[in-house]
Amino acid sequence: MENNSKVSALLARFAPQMTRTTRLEKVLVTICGGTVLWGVYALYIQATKGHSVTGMRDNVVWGVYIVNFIFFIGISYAGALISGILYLLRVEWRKPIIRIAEIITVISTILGPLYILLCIGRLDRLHHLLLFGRIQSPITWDVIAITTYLIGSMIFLFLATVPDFAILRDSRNPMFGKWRRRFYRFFAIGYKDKENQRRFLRQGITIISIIIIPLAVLVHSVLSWIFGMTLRPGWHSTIFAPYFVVAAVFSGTGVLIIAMWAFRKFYHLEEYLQEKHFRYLGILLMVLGGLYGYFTFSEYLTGWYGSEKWELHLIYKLFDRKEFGSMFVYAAFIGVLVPILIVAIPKTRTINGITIASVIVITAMWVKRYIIIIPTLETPLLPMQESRMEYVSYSITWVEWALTFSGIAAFFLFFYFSSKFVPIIPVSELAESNAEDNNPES
Amino acid sequence: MSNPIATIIAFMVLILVPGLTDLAVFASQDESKIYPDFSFSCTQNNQQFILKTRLSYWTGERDVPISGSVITCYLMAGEESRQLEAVRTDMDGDAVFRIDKKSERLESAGDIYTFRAVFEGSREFEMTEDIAAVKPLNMNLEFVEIDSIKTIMAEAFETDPEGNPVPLEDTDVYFYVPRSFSLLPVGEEWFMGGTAQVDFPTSLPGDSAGNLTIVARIQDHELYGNVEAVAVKDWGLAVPRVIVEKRRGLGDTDAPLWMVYTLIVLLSIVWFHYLYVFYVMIKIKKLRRN
Repeated sequence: MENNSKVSALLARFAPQMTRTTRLEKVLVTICGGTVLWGVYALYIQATKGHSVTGMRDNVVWGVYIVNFIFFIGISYAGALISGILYLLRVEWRKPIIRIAEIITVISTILGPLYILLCIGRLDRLHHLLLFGRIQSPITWDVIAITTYLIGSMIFLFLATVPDFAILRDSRNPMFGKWRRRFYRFFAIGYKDKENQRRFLRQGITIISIIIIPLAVLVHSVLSWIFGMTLRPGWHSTIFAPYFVVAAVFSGTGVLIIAMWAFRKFYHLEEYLQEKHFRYLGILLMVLGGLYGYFTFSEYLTGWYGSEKWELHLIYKLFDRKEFGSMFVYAAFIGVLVPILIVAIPKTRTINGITIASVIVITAMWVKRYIIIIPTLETPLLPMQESRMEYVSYSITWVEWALTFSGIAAFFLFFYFSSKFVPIIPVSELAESNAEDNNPES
Repeated sequence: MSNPIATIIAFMVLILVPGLTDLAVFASQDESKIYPDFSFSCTQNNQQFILKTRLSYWTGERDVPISGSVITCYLMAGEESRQLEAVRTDMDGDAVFRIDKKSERLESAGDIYTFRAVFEGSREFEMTEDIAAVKPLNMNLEFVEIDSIKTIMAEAFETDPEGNPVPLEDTDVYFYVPRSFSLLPVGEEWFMGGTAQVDFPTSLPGDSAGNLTIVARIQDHELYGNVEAVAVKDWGLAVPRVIVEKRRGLGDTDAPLWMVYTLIVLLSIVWFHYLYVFYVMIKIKKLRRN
């Protein structure tokens, strides 16, 4: 593949970010690495002492690990839906952001299921799921769906990156060393931007971008059915699947905006990640916020109006300031209304304002997953036999916090190292746009 | 300069006191040991002696089996005590020894075999043992129809030192048919001249071929212990095998068919496209040469 001057200029722009490490990066990598090590130590404690070091007990059998699992799978929507839909609609402004979205998808789909493993008491029996799994079980559906989704997301990311690998392979930029060239040669799969190759590549990306959208919807629907299929107050709901899907796109968009803000800020990518990208995604965030708020209202109104004993008991717990009241207010009101207002008011609809709205959204979504899981488990249909406080009320232990933060740190690390191997802004796509801009016939 | 005698006494005290302490601890432990309950019984058939032991202890409220303890079985032959086997108790506290009647280990032990089962004790439990003495007896079952009445005939005899059969006399024998949960009594008779016979009921359901298992038992005899003979005879009513239709559902082992088909179709659609994309990648790689 012959690099034209545009491509060379773009490569010269991104090569320093890919090959050099600044002091700030070193500090951040050290902090994240330390947090991951803290998590490894917590994991060692949990593996040697058992699950009693967590807050999970007989009634609250799922804790913050499941919250993190749903959270990470939720943010994986950023790549699947946003880049998939924008690619299919051939939306021009998608180009600088799709790589970030796709990387978010792959990393979070890898990290999310790891929390399930942390939750399992008998990991030595994990293979039983494959040997004796019953396809009537939503857990089995979940395993099948997430595995298929992860493979699809990886193919999507890979195919979209092939032209960039080819550009990097053919680059004469001295900043790319031998091993990097070998790496790019392998992953470029002989792509030379020939007409036939381009046609096949587009065909592959289009197929995967079509497949990935229903697959992503299915993954989060299946995830919601783990709860929805059980006859527990707060879980047994017919709207749980679309509710989870909307919440996932909501939080995925939030994470995408934050990632864009961070790269723009630290690598000075202002000319690529422009204000319009934040504005468009901000509006998407606002629309999703409205939709999510509507689902939330509908969900709790129906439960409250039905006046079923245990459902009411749960709703009163959610509204009780001494129990989950503050969390509920944050997840259902602040996490929805404040981001909508920030984006709706022109004065606050700035890059920083939209990023702050995104931070509120993703923290609210994490809290929302917490109040979906814990209050219901603390409201069993049969009276609790165990009256010890730690059995009645769940509280997160330091081991769980350590593993939660180490997951977030691992996310940042994965993201950081990914950006060292491929340009975070798709060079080939930008070069193509520039070529089209210069072509009067296009 | 210190007195050497005092030094020796002090040294002795230092040596002995820890030893005495250990002894005292041992004695107190010994006193706190639990006396287990131990039962030992013998059942014989024409081939084997089946010796059963049960080890347990009483907590004051319930009987708790002692599992994993070694029980050793000996054969007493005059002054000699011959070890036969050592078996660990199972979860129910049971240990079972099966000794073949023709085993060389039983040779020259006299007419009556005296078995001794020993539990040597442990840190928590005292040692205990029990003895069971049995005389070999053979019992066979025959099935005859007398005036079209189905009759079970049991023959029992012991063997004298010359090897001649000696018919069993004046002993109760019970006949059973095993059912799902317990043994169903079907008759009771008295051995006279080595034989006992009972009429067999004609209304018992058997398997699909009408086969029934019939058990004859002499129970807790002072000389022979428990004696058992088992035979299978097609005197039951043939019951056709019930073919239970296999159901498919959420609570069953197999999923509903619509669910299986849906999963297969969905996965096939997705994986077909994945495979096609892999094919596309290969094509891209091949096209590099053109």
